[in-house]
Amino acid sequence: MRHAVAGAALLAGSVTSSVSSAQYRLRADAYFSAADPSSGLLVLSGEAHKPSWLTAETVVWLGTGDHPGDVMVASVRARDPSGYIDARLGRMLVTAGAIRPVHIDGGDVKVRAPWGTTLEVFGGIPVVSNFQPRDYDWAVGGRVAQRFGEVASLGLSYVQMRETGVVTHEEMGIDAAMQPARWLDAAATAAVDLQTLALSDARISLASRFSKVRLELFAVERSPSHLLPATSLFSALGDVPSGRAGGSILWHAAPRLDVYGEGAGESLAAEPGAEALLRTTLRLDDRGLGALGLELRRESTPGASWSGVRGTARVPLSRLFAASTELELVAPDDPRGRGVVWPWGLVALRFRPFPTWEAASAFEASASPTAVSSLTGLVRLSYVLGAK
Amino acid sequence: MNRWATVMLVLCAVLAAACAQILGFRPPGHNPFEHRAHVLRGVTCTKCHAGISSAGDEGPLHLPGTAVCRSCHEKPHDDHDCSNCHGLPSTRAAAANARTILRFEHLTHVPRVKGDCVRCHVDIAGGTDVLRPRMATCGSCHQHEAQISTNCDACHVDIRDEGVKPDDHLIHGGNFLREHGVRAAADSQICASCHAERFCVGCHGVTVPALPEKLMFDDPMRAGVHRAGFLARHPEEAKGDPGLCTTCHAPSVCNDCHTKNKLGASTGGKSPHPSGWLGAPGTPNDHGRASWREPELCAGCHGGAGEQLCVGCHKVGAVGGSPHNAAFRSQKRAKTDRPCRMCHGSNL
Repeated sequence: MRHAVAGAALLAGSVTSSVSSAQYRLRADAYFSAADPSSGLLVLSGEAHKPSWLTAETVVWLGTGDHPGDVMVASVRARDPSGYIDARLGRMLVTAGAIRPVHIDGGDVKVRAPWGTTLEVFGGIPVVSNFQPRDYDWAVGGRVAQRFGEVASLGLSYVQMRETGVVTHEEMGIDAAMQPARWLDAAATAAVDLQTLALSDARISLASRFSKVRLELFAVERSPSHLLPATSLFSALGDVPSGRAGGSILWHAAPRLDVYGEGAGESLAAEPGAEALLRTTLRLDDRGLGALGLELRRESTPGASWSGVRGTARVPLSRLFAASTELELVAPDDPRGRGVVWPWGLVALRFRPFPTWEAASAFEASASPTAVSSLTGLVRLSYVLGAK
Repeated sequence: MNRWATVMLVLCAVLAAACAQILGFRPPGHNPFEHRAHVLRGVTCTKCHAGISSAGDEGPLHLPGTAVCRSCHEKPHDDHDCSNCHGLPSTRAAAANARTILRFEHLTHVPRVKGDCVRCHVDIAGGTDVLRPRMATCGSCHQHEAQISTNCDACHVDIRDEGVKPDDHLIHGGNFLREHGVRAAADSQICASCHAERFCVGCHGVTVPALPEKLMFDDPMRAGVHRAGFLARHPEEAKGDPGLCTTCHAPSVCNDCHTKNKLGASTGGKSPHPSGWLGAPGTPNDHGRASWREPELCAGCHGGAGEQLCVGCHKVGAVGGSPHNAAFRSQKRAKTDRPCRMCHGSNL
């Protein structure tokens, strides 16, 4: 039996800055988990409080032990007041159309024309953690898109990654969105691996909203071998895509009661599968500060089927305190000696004495295939500079 | 009717009333203001909301008081303040809140719509309590993309502090985790109007200190891909959606974590593979089909130098035969390009 220490230590985060709190919002979160005492975290983030022609944004986290920390975002953005030109420089996450997000140290320039054309170009070297080897030396790409009034848009994106001069990844994406009516919204993306001229990822979603009901039809197809770097041996096994198609419905059954259901059929490398989800949320007040939730889920995957139920509650106790709890039970169809049921539960208490300070603590208990039982203490202390 | 039936009937009524209260249904007498009835009787908006046509960004809200009502309703049914029952407190609070969080002048808008208030307050006709025009209504006139998507502070005093619920953005209504990618692909600038980059990088960054749902553990309603007991479920979740893990994680993440927690065969732990995984041709030999379906899981432990394990059996002429499935095709040069040359190279 693994029994982690059920105590918790407090990490204090503090932020000092000479900038005006009216211009920038700075936040510090200190997080500690007793299950892994060597991985305490201090997350510092800052962003412009109000949009301006020149803004900066940063997210830095610090850890201990195996997690010494990293800079996730450190970028400066300049844009003209009309929004026609937008340029970023530094460490950033680039999301350009249908290609996968790229985390790079580099630059990204976006130019928009009054008639709805957008041109984006980006390039840089990849962000890696802990001086690990890079998957590629540098990446360059871009996107060109055209908006057709307020009704539709169409975009074409491209990214190329090279290592020692060899192309390790080359992908082209196409994205489209359409909103012909206020109640109808459609979007689709497709990414093609240009190394093998095969579809690596495609998604489509068609959503419709009426007064109390939202319906959605969706389909996803993904080919894992094309998502790996082209230099990986496992990218050369062949094209065996997996896909799913289904629908979802959100019903505002009562002013404070929402019911969400989702079902899909799957083809996992030509083997059939299915999934179903039913979730209800009951808000305990008009603002939803307090809420109860119940979720049922069933996954029928060849060799990995399971059923689960999860209950959640969030209750404000007073102006300063709020309590929350969460309980999940998962039962695999084929336990294979990993336990018949995998329970997981959490009880948390939040204390917010001032708008700038917030503290939360929790106990998390679980049983899993790797631990017969586990009890963990969690603590978070947050400070926001510039909060109202 | 006997006594028990009466008691049960009363209990059911009480229970129904309690349920209605919990579900948010309002009892009679607490309804939205009867705007529709007034309009149908020919009462113009400015008859009650006097002065609204010249209202600027500051100043009073021009909500009518009891005295205004009594200018027509000369014989009210009681002496109480009309707003106690007619109209919802939340609607008046929302109007007061809008004065604080929005920059808006009726003064400049009323002439543009030629005094037709319903042009913007379209929901009035339906008798709803949502009187503030939706953003889509604003967009029906303010069509220039830059006005809407890149200059929030033209209308919103501070949109990120405002905590506005994006009820006009269909993406937030359903399964956000599944839908946000396909919708953000075409309209990322709309996402950026509320979300800073740290929102995206919180999950999609190369290194993530703790996923938002783990850091904000006291908010169980927050959506998250690794919610609750994900650690126990993750082998099942990975097999149920091949390739999904790879959209955020490098394949090495699996091996790093399993090595750290001494869960892999290489660290003295139990092999994750079931019996029949490896075998001579003709035996179950399940690893081939599994690798076609989930190559990224194989790469998680056997990537990099570990690929030699595969090459040993599957190089050209070796006992394992060709690992390519029927759909395989490539434009690479077999003898020189990586990774082909590992099995097809001339120096084997």
